Amino acid sequence: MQNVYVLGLDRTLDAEARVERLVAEHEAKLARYVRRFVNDGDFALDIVQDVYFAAYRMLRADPSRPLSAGWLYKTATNYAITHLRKKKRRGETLPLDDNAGAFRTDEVSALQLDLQRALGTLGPEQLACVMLTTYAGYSSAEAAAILGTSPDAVRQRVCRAMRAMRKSLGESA
Amino acid sequence: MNRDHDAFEALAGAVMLGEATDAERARFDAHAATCDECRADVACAPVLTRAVLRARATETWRPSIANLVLDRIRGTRKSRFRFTVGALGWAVAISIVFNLALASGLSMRFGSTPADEASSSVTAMTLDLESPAPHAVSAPIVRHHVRVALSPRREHPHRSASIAARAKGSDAEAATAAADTSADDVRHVLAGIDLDGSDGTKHVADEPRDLCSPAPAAPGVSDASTVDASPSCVPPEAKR
Repeated sequence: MQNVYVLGLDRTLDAEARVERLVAEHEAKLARYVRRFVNDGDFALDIVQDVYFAAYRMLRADPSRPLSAGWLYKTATNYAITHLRKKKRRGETLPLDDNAGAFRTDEVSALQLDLQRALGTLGPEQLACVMLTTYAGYSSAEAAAILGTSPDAVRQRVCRAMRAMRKSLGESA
Repeated sequence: MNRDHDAFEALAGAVMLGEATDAERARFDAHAATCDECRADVACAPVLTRAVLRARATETWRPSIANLVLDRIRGTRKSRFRFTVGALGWAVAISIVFNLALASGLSMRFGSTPADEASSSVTAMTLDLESPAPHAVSAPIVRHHVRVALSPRREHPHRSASIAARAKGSDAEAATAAADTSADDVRHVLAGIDLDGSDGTKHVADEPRDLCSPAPAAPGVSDASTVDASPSCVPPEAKR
């Protein structure tokens, strides 16, 4: 009985240590990815915290489970998609000033604002495909594995997303 | 727009991402020769991709959420520990209360001593009452075997119950005993009741009826609430 208790304690500590290592490795990159995705710094921080906490719960349940960066991006993407869908259902729209407020002053330029606005016109699934392939650097096959779809579906969404962004940027130019 | 345009979107996406093989690239080029939109999409894709990569490269936001995450994890561990200890404490407390209740209930049910009977309500007792037959010359002793069963209500433990003895051919007499009386008290009350009658039937009634537990009625007793009252004639010499 005592061994079981000690084992459970060790498992908890191990999960915490592994999450601490994950946070140290992917903290900033994942936060920036999510912020670009949802276009809101505060929500991005909340989502990233939820992602790491989900990782902790998963590792606490099964310490031997391998956890890759792909899992972090997959979970973050799903949380971000859920957040965008909720925002769309509520009919929330952010004015341009708030869009700019999500980024630091030295990051803001006309091109960046146009790009962010163009990304904002995409649906959550198209945005996820563009962000995973173009921003995060995953291949269409890897993005398909993360999103739970086929590589051809990812490629088709990327094509449609690029077309929508091109038209959006063409209108703003 | 070419009617095969939708079918080439996946192919165009592969070209945009730089994943198209030579064969796929050739198929797309053949399609793009007749589709202005696909051609424009693919031509514009590197510009958009560069803009996204530039946006990523110029980001200087470095949030520090390590402390937030670790604090949350440690808070969860503390709350889990508190929950476990709290649940264990409650379980122990409930077990103690349950065992105490069980032990006290058993002692009340099986460990009834005369002192206990005096302090608790009468639930069941069997009494043997004797009285001489009224018209017999030899004055035999009539033994009345009376079973008294009372179940006082829990919400009215001190409510009085009337115990009546009714002899066949005579008027009923009644006496009142408290529901929490002892066996001796009930015996005393019953002893004061005239048991004259050929069958010596004792009727133990109650007010209300639920104070008297149902018991099998003795032969010749019409009232259903009458408890067992079976007289037996015992010769005086046998009595001695």
